[in-house]
Amino acid sequence: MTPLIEIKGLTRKYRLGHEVITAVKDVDLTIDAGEFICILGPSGSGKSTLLHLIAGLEKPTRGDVFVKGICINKIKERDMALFRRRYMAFIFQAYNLVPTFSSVENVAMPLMFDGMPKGRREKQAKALLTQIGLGKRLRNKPTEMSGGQQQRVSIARALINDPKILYADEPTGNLDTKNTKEIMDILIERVRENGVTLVMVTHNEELTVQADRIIYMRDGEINRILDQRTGQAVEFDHTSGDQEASAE
Amino acid sequence: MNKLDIVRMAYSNLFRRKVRAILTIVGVFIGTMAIVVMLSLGIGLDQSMRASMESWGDLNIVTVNQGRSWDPETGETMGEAQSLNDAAVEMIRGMSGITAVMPSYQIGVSAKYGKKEGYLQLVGVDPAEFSKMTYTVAEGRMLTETDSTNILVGWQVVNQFWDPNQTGNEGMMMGGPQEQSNSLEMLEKVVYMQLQNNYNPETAPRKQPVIVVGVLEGEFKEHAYSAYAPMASVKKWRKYINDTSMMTQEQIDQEAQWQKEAGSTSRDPEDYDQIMIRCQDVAAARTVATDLRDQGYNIYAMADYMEGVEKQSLIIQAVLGGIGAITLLVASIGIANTMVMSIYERTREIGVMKVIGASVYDVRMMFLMEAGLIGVTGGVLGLGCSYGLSTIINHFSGGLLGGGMAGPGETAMEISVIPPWLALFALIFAFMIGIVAGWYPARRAAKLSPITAIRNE
Repeated sequence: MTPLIEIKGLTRKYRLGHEVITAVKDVDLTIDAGEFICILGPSGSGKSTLLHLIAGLEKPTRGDVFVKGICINKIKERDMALFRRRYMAFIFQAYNLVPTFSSVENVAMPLMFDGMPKGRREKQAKALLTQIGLGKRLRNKPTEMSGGQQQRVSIARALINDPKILYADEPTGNLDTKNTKEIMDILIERVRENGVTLVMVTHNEELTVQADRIIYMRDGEINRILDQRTGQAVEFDHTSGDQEASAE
Repeated sequence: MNKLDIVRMAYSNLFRRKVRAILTIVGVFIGTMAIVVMLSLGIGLDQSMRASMESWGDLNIVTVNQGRSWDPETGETMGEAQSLNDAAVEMIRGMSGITAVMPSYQIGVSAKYGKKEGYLQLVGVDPAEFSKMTYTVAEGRMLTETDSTNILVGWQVVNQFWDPNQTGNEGMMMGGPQEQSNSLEMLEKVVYMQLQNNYNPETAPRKQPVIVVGVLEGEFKEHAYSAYAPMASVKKWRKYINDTSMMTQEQIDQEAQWQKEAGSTSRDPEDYDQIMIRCQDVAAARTVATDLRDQGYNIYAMADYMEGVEKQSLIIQAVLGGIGAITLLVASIGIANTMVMSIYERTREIGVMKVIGASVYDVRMMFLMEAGLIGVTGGVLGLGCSYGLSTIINHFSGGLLGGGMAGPGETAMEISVIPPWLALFALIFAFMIGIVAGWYPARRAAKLSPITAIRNE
């Protein structure tokens, strides 16, 4: 069986003035359908960049990302929009809701880009919001809601398309403990009940407790993968890679 | 993303910054108003010039008279006179863009109508050709093939008759040409023509009764002062009037002398006095007139004077339209500015929308539509106010220019005219200005990489 996501030799470099910074260095990884993967690392370790690359939000300098056997960094921008709508959703640390839109309108947005008529998509959005406990906030604008509520709206927006893969970049980074737990519960429920694949980036080790695998990142490289289901850990030695990077 | 949602998004985005949106719209509004009102003045001017020319004669008609060709600009005659015979008529019929050709004989005779005496300018025409020239009767009927002593009169013909008992008194002094009488009263009446031989005034005039069967429409047209009769009859009467057998030798010599001085060859008495040509349109009339003039015919065409008028009004319209266009151009820069600003502000949002699944097309259309909406809103408001402004201009200038511009008996001319095509053009133009101004910003927004947009914190 081919894995849901397959990453081969993924590298991403940035030019910062005259300096070239390698954010992600030669990463290989496979993710199966229904897995909950945590990418853990300190800030600057390249974990967010890796997530963006996997999600196809930016193009790698080198290497490929395959989703369902399709090489997504070779998909044209035009088709990528459709691909995103069909297979994946993204949850941001800063929620990134449209400030002028109500909860319902924000949640219904992906369906709008899919061409669904207003009545139908807003009905679906309402149902989903009610399901995650925001039935009383349907017509509120983001600024009229707490951070936890906003993040739940953004999760509803991510889930409205029934995505196969959920990407989350520090989804609880701005929330208190209580809200963090609620948000994590909603996400994990999706993984366990609906078979959604969740790839989450965090620097908070507490959140990784329920993850199937934890990917430890440092300086743009994976240096440890811990499979919490079996308790097996794989360590990586990158001494040669470091030399290559410094040569550049 | 369906079209309705694109419009809806564009609309809600536009009014997120109300003051900025309104100011930008005001720019387009003023631009549209400037271009519409300016062009409406040009069109109004053009129309009133055209109308006042048309009130004097039909622009599609070219008249060929006896005599030599002359330059319409200098008035100088040139070349040899051409005969207006059937061959000429056939030649003209063969030209392109012609709908009717009407040769005619003309005589001027004294006549009596009731107690009044007067003068008839009688034109002999072929009834079929005559109706093809688009003459119409106000009352009565047109001439038919069977008519011989029936005539049609123009609207003003009755004013060429007066009561000899009142001559010099109230009749001429008080009323005179000011009198508002028209030829309708002559309908079904008998007019007695006094056919007098031109060469021998000693002979007693022959009395020829004719019946007025119709009155022609056209109060101030050239034909308002003429009467029309079947060609055969006029030819007969003309022959009597011009019968040279009654000439004395002295007269014959003098006639020969005149012809020599005028440089024209002796004219065949069978030649027509005039050939009227009706053309499809003004352009055809102009070509026909030029062609015939080059062939040496004595041409009179209203269309000749149109050319200058048209050129002039085209220049006026270009200048006025240009001023308006500059205003609208400035407004379009305002739209571009607004759009670039709002893309800066919404960079992050655009990135999020792309991550959520908005396509390049969706993003571009949203911004294009927003720019288009500014254009259309400004256009509609501008057009609405243009109608208002146009009405005000016409209201206040009506008395001012009306007397100078309008021909006699016409309603006051409007100096600002907004035809439907101008209204439509203004709306489309305003929308297009929006689209063009929004093109670059929209393209920029669509090209934003989702992640750089989101990182832009």
